[in-house]
Amino acid sequence: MSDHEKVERIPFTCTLDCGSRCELVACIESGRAVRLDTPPNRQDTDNQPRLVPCARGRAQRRALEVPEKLRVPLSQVGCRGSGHLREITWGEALDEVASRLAEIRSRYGSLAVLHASGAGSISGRGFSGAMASHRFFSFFGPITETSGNQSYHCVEVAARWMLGSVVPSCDRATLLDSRLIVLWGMNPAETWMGPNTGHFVAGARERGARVIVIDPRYSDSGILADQWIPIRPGTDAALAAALAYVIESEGLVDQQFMASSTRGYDLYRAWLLGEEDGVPKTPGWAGPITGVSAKVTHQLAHDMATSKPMALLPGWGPQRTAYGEQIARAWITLACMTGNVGIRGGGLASIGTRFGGTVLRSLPQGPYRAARVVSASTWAAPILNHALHPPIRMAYVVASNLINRSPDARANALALDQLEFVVVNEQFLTPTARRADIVLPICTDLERSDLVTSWGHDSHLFCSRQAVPCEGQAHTDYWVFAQLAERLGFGLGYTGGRNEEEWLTYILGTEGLDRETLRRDGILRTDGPPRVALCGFREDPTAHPLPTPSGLIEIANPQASAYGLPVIPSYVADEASAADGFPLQLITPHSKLRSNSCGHANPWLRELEPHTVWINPVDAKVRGIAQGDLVYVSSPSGAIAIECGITERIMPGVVCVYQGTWYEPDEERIDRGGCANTLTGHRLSPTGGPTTHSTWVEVSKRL
Amino acid sequence: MNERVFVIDLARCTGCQTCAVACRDRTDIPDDMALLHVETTESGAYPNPDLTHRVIHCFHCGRPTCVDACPAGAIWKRSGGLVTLEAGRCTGCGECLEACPFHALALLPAGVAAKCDGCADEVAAGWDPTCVRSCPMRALAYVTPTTLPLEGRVPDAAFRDHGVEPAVVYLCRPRQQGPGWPPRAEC
Repeated sequence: MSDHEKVERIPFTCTLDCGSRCELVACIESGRAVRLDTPPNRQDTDNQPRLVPCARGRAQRRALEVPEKLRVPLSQVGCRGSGHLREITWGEALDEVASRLAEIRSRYGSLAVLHASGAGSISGRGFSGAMASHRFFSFFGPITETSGNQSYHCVEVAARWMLGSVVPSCDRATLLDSRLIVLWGMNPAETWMGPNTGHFVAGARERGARVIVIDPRYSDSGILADQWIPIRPGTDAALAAALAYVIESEGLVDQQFMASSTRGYDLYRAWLLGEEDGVPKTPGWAGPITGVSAKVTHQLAHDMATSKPMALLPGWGPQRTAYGEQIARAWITLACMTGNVGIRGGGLASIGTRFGGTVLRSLPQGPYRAARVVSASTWAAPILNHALHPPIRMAYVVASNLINRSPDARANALALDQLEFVVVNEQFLTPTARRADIVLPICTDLERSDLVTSWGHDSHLFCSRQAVPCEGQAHTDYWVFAQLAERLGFGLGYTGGRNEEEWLTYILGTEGLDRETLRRDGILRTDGPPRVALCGFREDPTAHPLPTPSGLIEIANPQASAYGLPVIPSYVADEASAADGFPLQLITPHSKLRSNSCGHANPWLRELEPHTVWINPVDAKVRGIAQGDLVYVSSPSGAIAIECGITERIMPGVVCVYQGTWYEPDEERIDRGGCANTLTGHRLSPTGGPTTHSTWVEVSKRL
Repeated sequence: MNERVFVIDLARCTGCQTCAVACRDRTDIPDDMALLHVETTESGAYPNPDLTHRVIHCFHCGRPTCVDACPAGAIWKRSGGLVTLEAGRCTGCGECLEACPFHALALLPAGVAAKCDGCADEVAAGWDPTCVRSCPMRALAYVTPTTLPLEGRVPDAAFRDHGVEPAVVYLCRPRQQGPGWPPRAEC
């Protein structure tokens, strides 16, 4: 076919904060991207499945043409948020940003500058997004920076306390050996978390494994499962306790593993059996808390303890709760009690960061590090409360729809409005960009080159190539910061005298890197046999000790007391509840059609599904709400207007709004965009994790 | 008889919409139209809901109603089985859209109808069609009828073929039951 011959095929990948890295190919004809593809002739094998991109990856060509795509630098004309922005030249824009950076640094000190990034284009190793801005500020001075993990904070805390470090989970391919897979708040059909997670779950099922989903809603992953167990948000540690109680009281604990490889279980055991408080944590005890019947809990405990290997795959939703540390710790405990640590087809219930991989050459960092941090979740609070000294005077936002992505969107917008100067590097005119004084247009992944690493579930290296010329006057983040660095007197330090292509060649010169394959295929795969987390520790805990005080897995963690948490992974009831007119629990999962808020402006994705609030028919009926009605969801933080989606796929008492649609407040402060974070609040878990899934709301036809 | 049929595994199709986007990317059809869409059906009641995502496009039927409906003779069935629309002969009357029980055709703003061409060029080049290649769940296949992958699966009885002999097989996989495995949640 002649069409195929005149088309140039350029490999690239996304750099989004989505949880996967996949193989994309841009088909170029006469300098224009005519379509996207996957490497067409590659075949799947068990150990080397293709890395097939999802709808979000495939839709990127359309995003080049949307009206929200930024093509020229913009300057705010009206008040912030009015959307009155006028076009300015790059020279004007860069001069203004550089002079304000210098002025604020000399008048107030560099701490007065807040650098915020995250949730956008985060995974380019050389030049993209946050990588470019972090390097810039390392030359600029000791600034204030957003810090902390909005995604899996509590999982990380649990890993450090119990395992001594963030230990990787097993490779997804090991799921094929599982007999039982428990997707606990995990939703691979919509959030993927590795391009082939769902593929392996389906494959395991075809080989005879059973799959159970624990989730307040029947997500698309319900299709992959044999059983759905609905659970009230924030009560997962109570279900875990009841499971542990059954496993303990019926003699199903893997005693040998517990004795040889763990320490501190006695304390948890005593609590389970009610030796201190006289309350055994039976399925009957947990039922009224979790909404899961004693019968189902009892059966689940048996299944988990007797189906070996059992892979407990936790998602990150259950730990974004008021006491999310407790379920994150309980997951590891259940993996231990059932003896599934360090075996193929089992797993650790930890996060999926991989072992090693090639250490790449990197661009040099400057002499400075951030000297002050504010929480990535609640950065707006200290600005609004005037709690910082010296106060923050300006914000530089990179690769982040900052207003949208942190809890309490309205507070976030107000906080930005209080600052003297806000700069945003963006690909699209997001709600955050609309509130900036200067908006600088940045290329998308089709318009730039970078080296990109996999998420933790894989360890592939991608060489993503620029496929089309930049739209309008858009540039890369690297170019922007090189220009600013030049104006601020550290241009050579930032660039090292190299342009991006030269840096790319330099990084590709890393010793031991097969750069020919990487250049040709756009990817260097490191598959190999599937790796099993902690298999050495499992075989011989003495020879392969963990970096914990005992060298073993610590079920009891004395350091928890400093945060007001129990030393054991017990259930801690949230003191917030159905009071003050907010009787429904809200969950805000990630959508398959967006990566955080990226993709919202793309009609190929946006038009696929209406943005609705999921509500059970029982809850809709008592409120007089019908399918498709425009309703209001309100919380102590704010209110959104949204279409009502009545469904049997969510448990009574719980409603669901997918995260990521753009914040769009009207004159009455109602968010017409239906941004889920308009409803969430600034409360943190004891160790500082976001608690977005511990939000109480009301749904009504009128406000 | 079609040389190849579409096989869609309902136990693997999670409704991720990747095929719908990939088809759009190939065809550049206007945003408010589609040559491939995913039909979602919810059934059952809490706590035992059920969910089916069904990929729908032209199934190059054995008895194609669109061919009969076209007054201009612009649609015909090729020897290998593909139902082909020749834009140059289409008058844009829209009769084929009405006739198709799967709503698989579109009427473009230019006044001509459009439909799935089976990615004939790609198949000729030895590749699978775009939708099949794009599926991250490997739920889609395009195979000769004799190589239907039926292992552990049964054709979906709920699918209505409207008597037009569509070249598609939807497959179901029974949920696992047995000792110790309650079929669905009891809450």
